Amino acid sequence: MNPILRAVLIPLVRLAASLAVITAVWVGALWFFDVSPIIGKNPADVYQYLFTHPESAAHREVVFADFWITMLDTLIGFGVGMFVAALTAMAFQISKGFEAAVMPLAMICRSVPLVAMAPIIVLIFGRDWASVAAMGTIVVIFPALVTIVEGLRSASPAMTEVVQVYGGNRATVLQKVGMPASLPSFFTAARVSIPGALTGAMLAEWLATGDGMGYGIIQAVTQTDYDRLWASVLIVTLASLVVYSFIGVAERLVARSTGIGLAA
Amino acid sequence: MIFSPLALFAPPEREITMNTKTTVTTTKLTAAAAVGALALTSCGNGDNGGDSDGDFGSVEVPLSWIMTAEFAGMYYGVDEGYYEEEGFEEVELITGGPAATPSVTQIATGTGLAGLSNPIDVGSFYDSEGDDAGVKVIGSVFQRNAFAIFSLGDNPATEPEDLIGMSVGVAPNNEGVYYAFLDVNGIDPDDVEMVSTGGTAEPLSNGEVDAYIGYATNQAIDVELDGHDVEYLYFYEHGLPFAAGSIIATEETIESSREELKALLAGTIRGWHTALEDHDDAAQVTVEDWAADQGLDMEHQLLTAERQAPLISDEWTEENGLLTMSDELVADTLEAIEVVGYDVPDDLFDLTLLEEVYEENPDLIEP
Repeated sequence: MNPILRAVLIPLVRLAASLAVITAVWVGALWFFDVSPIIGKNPADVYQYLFTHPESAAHREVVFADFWITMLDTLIGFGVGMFVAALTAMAFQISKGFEAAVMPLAMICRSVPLVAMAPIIVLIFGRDWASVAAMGTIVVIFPALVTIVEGLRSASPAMTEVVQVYGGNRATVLQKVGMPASLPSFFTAARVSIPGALTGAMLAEWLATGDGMGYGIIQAVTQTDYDRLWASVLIVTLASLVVYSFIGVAERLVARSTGIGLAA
Repeated sequence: MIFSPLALFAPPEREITMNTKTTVTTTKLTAAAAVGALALTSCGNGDNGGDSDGDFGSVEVPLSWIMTAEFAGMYYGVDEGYYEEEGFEEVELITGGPAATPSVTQIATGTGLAGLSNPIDVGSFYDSEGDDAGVKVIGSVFQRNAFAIFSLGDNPATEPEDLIGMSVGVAPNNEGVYYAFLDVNGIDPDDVEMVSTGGTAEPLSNGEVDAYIGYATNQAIDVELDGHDVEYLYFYEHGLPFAAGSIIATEETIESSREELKALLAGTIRGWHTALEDHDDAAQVTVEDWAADQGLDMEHQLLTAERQAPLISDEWTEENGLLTMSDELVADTLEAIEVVGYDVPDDLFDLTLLEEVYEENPDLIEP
């Protein structure tokens, strides 16, 4: 089979398998725990809410308006978070002192719940995209940073020495050897960070901006609109699966064209 | 579902508090008097099931918020043994809160005999479940709702029009009443900046917003205790005089467990009579026993107890009894639900249980 086609198809097959598992667990859990139909909606209820209900057009409008805001917020948080993580990881390679000074900060991001930091972030950054970016960064940075640093360190000593022999300094080593070597871990970091970035975006929407799915889900709960709640959760789940698979495809294609990380 | 294990241990703790406080003596005496009164009444009508066999068993009652002084009457119903005397083995109050499942959902899905809610939540439940949602309001603790949009004294909103150009902090569960307030007062929502906030008035205290929508008996007190002058726009003075603290039950329960519900109402009425007598004690019971794990502020709860008293007990209730509703109040409340944007059946309120309670126990009107 065409290797590029293969790189695209495999994640798609996996995606279909995940969908089957999710649906089975969903229906099975509702049945097994005998959840009241007022709260526990099944796939057919969600389908009806979004497509066959007389007001389904209005329902789709509500849910998807929230959805695109959340996707944009996720992109902002993910982009800024990955950028900061990559930049910091490279700075770590150049200066060990910087690493010792900054790593505890990254750990604070991980260990203090975002909900507890939210009021301060909102006071500093306001209630718009700056807060979204800040909260996205906080969620993304620790796992991404650790993974990228690991990747940068994985450069082979022999290649590093070649650059040094030709008079290259630390920055040159990083550019010529470290960055290409860390490509696979960069993709791993991206995959690990996407669900986090989505959660971070929804938290930011709930605690700061007051729009998107993060707020919509809270709204649906307080208004006892459980159809909307399940539809929103389902769409967010599907979106994170699709984005995750998409990064998998990108990773395979890049690996194929550069030859880096093929063995992994 | 959130359940406070504290509810189980509250009575013994309460005993300790009572023994160490002199102010409680009066409460005890009144309680004794009330018990005496009940003994007399229950002799008069042996068929209302109000004997102390505990034949109604243990029941759960989900509340609409965390355990603040807002539910003080029910705390006394448990602590003073009123519910027990009405025939329950135990009445277990289940704490609610911003993250809890709304009590109306709990009641509709079969958790609890009756619950504490408010007309707007009930309306929104009908909106999503349709007319056969089957939940009824059988009484209202608050004759007037405590909703208000409040602002700071140095940038006050004294009339609804003053809100134009201001920013107002609104929690998700208050969005409906916020828009209803603007609608009733003829203000274009585009002229006021709505800021989505959480359930505390902190953004008003720290200057992030100009005003906040919440309970005058709850969030506003935090702002006052922060040392600010607070200016109030009460909903009941500005076109939305609806009742709150709705006691709700399903149609099914009303049919199958009518006597239990009546007993619960009777115990709650007696509890509120006791609670309204001594605000200090009501606040203390709340802070030290029922909400001990919440770390509530004594001063705050005392203010809550003082301020909610005139909303619970007024000229109407003095004549007709606590929890009852006049036809006018029913109409006003239905209208408010409609303005918020929810369709509810005209017979949402079933006040016949309360009528029977007071018919069978006329002493409950004037304890």
